[in-house]
Amino acid sequence: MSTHEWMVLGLFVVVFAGIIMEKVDKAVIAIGGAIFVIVAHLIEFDHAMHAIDFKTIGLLLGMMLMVACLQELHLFEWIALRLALLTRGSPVLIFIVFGAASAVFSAFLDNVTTVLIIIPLVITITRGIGLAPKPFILTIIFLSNIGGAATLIGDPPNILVGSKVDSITFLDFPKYMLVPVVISAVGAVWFMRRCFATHIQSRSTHFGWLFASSLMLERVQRQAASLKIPQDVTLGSSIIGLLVLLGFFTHGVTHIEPAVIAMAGAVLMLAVFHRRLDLHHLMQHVEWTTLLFFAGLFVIVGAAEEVHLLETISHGLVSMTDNLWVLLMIVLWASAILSGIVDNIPFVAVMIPVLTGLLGEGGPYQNVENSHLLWWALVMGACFGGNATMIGASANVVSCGLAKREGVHISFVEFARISAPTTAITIVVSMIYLTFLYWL
Amino acid sequence: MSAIDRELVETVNRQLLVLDREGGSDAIATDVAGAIARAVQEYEGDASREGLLRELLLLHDVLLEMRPRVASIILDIQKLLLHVHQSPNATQDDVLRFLQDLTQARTDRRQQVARVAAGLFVEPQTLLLHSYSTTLEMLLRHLAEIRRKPRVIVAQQQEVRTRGILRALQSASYDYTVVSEYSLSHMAHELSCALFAGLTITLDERIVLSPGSANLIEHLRSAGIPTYVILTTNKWSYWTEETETAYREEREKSIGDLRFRKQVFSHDPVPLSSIAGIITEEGVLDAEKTREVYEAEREVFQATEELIVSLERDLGIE
Repeated sequence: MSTHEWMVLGLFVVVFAGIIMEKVDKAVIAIGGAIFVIVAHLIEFDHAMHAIDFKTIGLLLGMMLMVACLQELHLFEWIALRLALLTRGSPVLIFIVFGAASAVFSAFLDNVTTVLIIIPLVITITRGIGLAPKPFILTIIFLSNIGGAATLIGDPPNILVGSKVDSITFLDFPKYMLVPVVISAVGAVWFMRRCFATHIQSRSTHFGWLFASSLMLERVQRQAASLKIPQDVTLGSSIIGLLVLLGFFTHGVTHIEPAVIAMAGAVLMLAVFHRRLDLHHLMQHVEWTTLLFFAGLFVIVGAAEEVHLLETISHGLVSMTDNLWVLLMIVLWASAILSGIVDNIPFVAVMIPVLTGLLGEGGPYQNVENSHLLWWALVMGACFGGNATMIGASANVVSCGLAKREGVHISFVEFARISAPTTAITIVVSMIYLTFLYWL
Repeated sequence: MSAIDRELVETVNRQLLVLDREGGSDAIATDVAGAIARAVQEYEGDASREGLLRELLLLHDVLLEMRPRVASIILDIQKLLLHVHQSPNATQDDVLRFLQDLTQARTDRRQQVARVAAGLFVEPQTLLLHSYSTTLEMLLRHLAEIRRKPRVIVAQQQEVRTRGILRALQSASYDYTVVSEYSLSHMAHELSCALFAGLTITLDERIVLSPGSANLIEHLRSAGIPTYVILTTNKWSYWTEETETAYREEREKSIGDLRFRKQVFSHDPVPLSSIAGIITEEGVLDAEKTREVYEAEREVFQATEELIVSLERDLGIE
């Protein structure tokens, strides 16, 4: 490896270490790294600007604005309260309804937004009816990470892959991911139910506890009744939401980038509800630090490409095996393990050009049958691996923080004791699924 | 033999405190009746008359353990128990019908209170409001309907309670203004009278009100402003309290980097003698008349409690 390659590799180690230590915001680390590679002439300024993928940034910004609009219109709150009423105060139904809702919400919203909507309400409800909130919080975290894997917009690694890999469309995600997501979710639910069987059980034969649950439901009913969403808001936002989804599903045919569709949805939302929404206020809800983090990361990855470091990694991977199935398993497990320990975004950002090198023109796997499965091995590993530890995904960190603020302390070890087997189940499901597709 | 589930008591107590804070004492009774109805509907255990009676007796005991006890819900469950005991063929549907009737009777009582209280507002007045209840909201609506709206000053307290009053005033287009409860002395001279929503009256003649009321009432008394408390007779308590009337909690708080422990009290007890009268469905009662009605109602309550104790003994409930 050349000196330049060593320098970029060293920078990656520093960036990863900085993210793990959490002393400085990861956006500052990424932007700092980007400035370093430019100043050290590891990448020219013009090339650095070209390396920033505005398809990804635009999609993230558009989705953040759309979510902020829907939040401001109280639609998520309304849906969460309706879901609470659906549970009828039953621990089993709270477990199933909110678990399923987390998975579905996460497929269309980012996972952090999902847990921010659901977890506070679930803590209130479970506490209110005398249940320990922990098993329910953990289930929501796991299912939101699993559900997020189902669509292009569900999780940042998917947004990266979907935006940067031209051959992958919005429809490809449900086509390849729906089956492992559903089976993994069922597996995770089964495991959690087994671990917390005493908490998650019916109360229909315990009159006193049935009364306590019903009392909570009366409260939720009152809250739901006082939260009145005007009909034009429900109708308008539903139509815009459907149009955006339609745009995503057909972008392979229309060739309109998902980023443009998301931004158009946000602009439409702001135009239709201009009397209720204030753009200046909504801008505060946009996670600018996340967008800066992505921009900085793209520049660092661009430098790695420029100094041929990614090529060296590709060659290293190829030299390990010439068997595609073995490579699939390496990518799956490596991305799962690394995503559990460090942020999965930088890992996926590095792996995309590496896999492009393997699968693209002149790459050793260009004409190998089913080699495209490497993308799905990467997505499954990165998304499901995020469940492995408390710091594996942003949703985990945010949820445990929310729980702590409400007096529910989940320790790192306690989290890992439940999350490690849950992640193992989902990765084994992925292994079987990839093997099945490989032999098909 | 069955004993009280302490965890259940704690859970229900926490819920009732939140419900009281969010909806006031009237809403609690409605919520509890609704919750009993829902529990009866979904109960898959022994739903025979004896089975229901046993479960309702246990719930009665749990509700008696509440701190503070909510009289209206205890009186309601007493009535329900008597009904089930006296109906040889009581079924789940029968219990649900009875609960509906109870809810209707509660609404009728509140409407009657609104009519009684309207009698205080014949002349144009400036009224002080502090606590929120659905009966108070009903009164504000009624006064607006009969065109006797007073000007209102709201003494601001916990956000959730003040919000309830403000919503009610706004929806009935009242002329109102808000002042911090600790700054009321600057505006006391503008007031004609004050109206509070009461939680209960206890055996030792103390009226239990929302936090902050005691100071206000003491101030109003020294300023010679009459204070009335809305308190239907189904909210009166007829037992000796073994613990403090107001539920006390110590909470961790901080101002900037300064951390401290704050004592939080759920209610304020005020002596009956501090107020001008209690507004009930039977009229505006002064202290003397209140004692009279209280004694008569207490005898009925005790007779019912004795019957319940004997029923529990028969069913082997501890």
